[in-house]
Amino acid sequence: MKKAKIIGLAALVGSVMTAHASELTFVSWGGSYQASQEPSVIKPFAAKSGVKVKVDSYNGGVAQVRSQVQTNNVTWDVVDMQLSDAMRACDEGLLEKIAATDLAPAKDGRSGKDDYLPGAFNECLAGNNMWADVIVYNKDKFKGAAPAKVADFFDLKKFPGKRALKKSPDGALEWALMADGVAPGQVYQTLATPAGVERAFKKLDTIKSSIVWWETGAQAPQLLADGEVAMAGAYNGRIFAAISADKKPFGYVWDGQLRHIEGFVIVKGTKNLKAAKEFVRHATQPEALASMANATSYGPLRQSSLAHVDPAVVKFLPTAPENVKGALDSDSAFWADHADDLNQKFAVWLAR
Amino acid sequence: MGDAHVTGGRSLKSKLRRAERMEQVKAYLLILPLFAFLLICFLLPIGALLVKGFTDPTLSDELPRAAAMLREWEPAGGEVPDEEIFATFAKDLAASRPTDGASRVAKRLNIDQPGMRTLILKTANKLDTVEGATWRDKLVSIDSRWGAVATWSTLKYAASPWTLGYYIKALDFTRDERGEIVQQPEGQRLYRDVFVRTAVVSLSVSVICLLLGYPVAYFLAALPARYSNLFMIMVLLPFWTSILVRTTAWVVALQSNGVINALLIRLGVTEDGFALIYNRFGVLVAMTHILLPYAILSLYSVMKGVPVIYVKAARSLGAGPIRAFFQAYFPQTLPGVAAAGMLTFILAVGYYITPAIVGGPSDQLASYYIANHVNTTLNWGLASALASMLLVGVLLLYAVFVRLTGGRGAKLG
Repeated sequence: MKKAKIIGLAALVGSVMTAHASELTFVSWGGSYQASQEPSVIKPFAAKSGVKVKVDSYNGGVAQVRSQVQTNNVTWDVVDMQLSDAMRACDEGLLEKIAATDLAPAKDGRSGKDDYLPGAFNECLAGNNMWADVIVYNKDKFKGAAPAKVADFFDLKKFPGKRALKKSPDGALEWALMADGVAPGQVYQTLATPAGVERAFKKLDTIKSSIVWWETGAQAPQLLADGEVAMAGAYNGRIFAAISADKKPFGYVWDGQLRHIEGFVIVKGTKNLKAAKEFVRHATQPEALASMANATSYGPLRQSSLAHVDPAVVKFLPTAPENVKGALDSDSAFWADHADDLNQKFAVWLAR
Repeated sequence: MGDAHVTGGRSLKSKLRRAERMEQVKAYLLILPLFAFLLICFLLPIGALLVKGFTDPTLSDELPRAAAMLREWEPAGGEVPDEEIFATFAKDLAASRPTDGASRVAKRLNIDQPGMRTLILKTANKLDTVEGATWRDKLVSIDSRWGAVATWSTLKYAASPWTLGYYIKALDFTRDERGEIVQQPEGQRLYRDVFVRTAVVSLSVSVICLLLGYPVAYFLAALPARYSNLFMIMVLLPFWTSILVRTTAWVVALQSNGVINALLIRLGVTEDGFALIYNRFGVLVAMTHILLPYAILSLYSVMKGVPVIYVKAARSLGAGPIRAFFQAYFPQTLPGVAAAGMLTFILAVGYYITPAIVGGPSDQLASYYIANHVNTTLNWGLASALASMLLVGVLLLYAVFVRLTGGRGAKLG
């Protein structure tokens, strides 16, 4: 009797301990983005590994991760983070290192690291997907020739109508330079010089009076759909949603698309390091990335994922082969250094 | 007997005094919570704000010895600092790494000079492995910028825990590499225009409020009470409605496919509608609408006290209606005009959300930039400098105004 009690107690303790050991908190961006991760990443992982995955959401930045690490109270294990934030957090030593051997290899035997697109994997971040600031237009406004180049965004004669742009220097300045004839590879070099900044603002001056500035991602497709503007710079996922769910007549100008990398990081000092690494390994499998892409049109960062993406969705991906010509990868290091300065100059230019 | 009387009188007097003092203490005790409230919720935050605009503790906290030496160093000579400063800086930077001090220094310096972030982080990472005979050689071999005076003068002017740097920036000045305070280049001047714009918009709004509010207040004051109450409610209803709701209502009314434009297009006045919003016009309309009740109420309270008999006397002595109004009535309402003007002006100066919603990029007032530096760029020092300048500006205007009007009616408190 007594023995049975002890065994029962031990079993209870044991089960509590294992339950504790196989738990994981995954933090992402909330909204439809996180909703699309639920069936494509979280549930399959939980089913396969038996780990209970708790989810939380945040609005980007490194402040929360920093305070958890510094107060030694780490409650987040894996975070879906932008490359620029991940680089900052990595610089500050807030993230666990991820090794190439932590990743699942591709079907053809390539290692996970080699399967990644350039820049999508580093010691702190395993890439998830690539989203883009992309120029889009309302097909109803341009019945004849459709815009196809960044320069067309700045050409009010050939393509009349108002433009919508994010009220922020990143995006606007890069597009202005590309429209002015700077090759994508030279954009950040040019923008690092005062003359380059001036050149960008001068180009923006040519359409300034026709620009409607937006501040939240939902505004761009709204302005396009309402007919307030004919063309817009927008987040590609929002436009995909408007086209696929709401059947809006929007077209993309992939030339000059400005691409950003999003990935998984593991918070330094997590108590569930093993489960966290398993999660990252699972979530960065080509099939998992492809399944996320099908729901959002964010480009999977592993090359072998493309084969698993729904053929109907492929043409909407920032990483699709036919869309990458003329693409520019946003330079997080450049913006970390120049954001203070260019924000100020942008504010001055706006108010002029 | 007489003595006794005097002593008695004295003791009575002192008793009385003591009783009075007790009463005073009790009175003070009663308003003690008020004082505590004022202190905690008003004076302390404002004091902290004023101080924040002058403090810049990052470098002196994170790199204490190097900061102290840099404060003594003079960039005007055009020479980089000597080896001792290089070595101390390297040691301080190395010591700051475990607590992430280096990244705080990097973030702080990047505000003054783009690129300093990378420079500091890169230097901090390579300190242990770099080779060279002197620290100067080592740092320059990590990055050639360490051989430039400009880099060190950026450090120097961030090295003191007390600074005028935020005010220099808030007035559109900057320091050149020799430390001279010079005007910002044309393309980077922002805040002087912002303050002028804030003053112009606020002044326009208060003038429009007076022009529109005066007749309304006059009408309300002249009506018998049972009618005027009804109209008063019509003034007060919008006054009680949330600012955000009223501003958004203007967006609905003024936008390019909005109510007003739709009507104008239907009437054939215009073909594509007028630009009524996201420009100065929209800001003036919405702000005037929001501030009008303040003007009407302050005018009304003064007009209620003006006896009608003067105008009647003026008329009976032969003045026409216009002359009677301007000579007998209007001068008596001046304190109300002054109070209404001052009140609407001061409220308008602090407006933020209304111009943000209905204004264009060139219609944002000072508060927008203060909020931007508090929330987005996290440059609280600059935000505090801008806020203090706004506060001092308003207090100065108020002082001048009280002096001009002799304090009649315009005292806010």
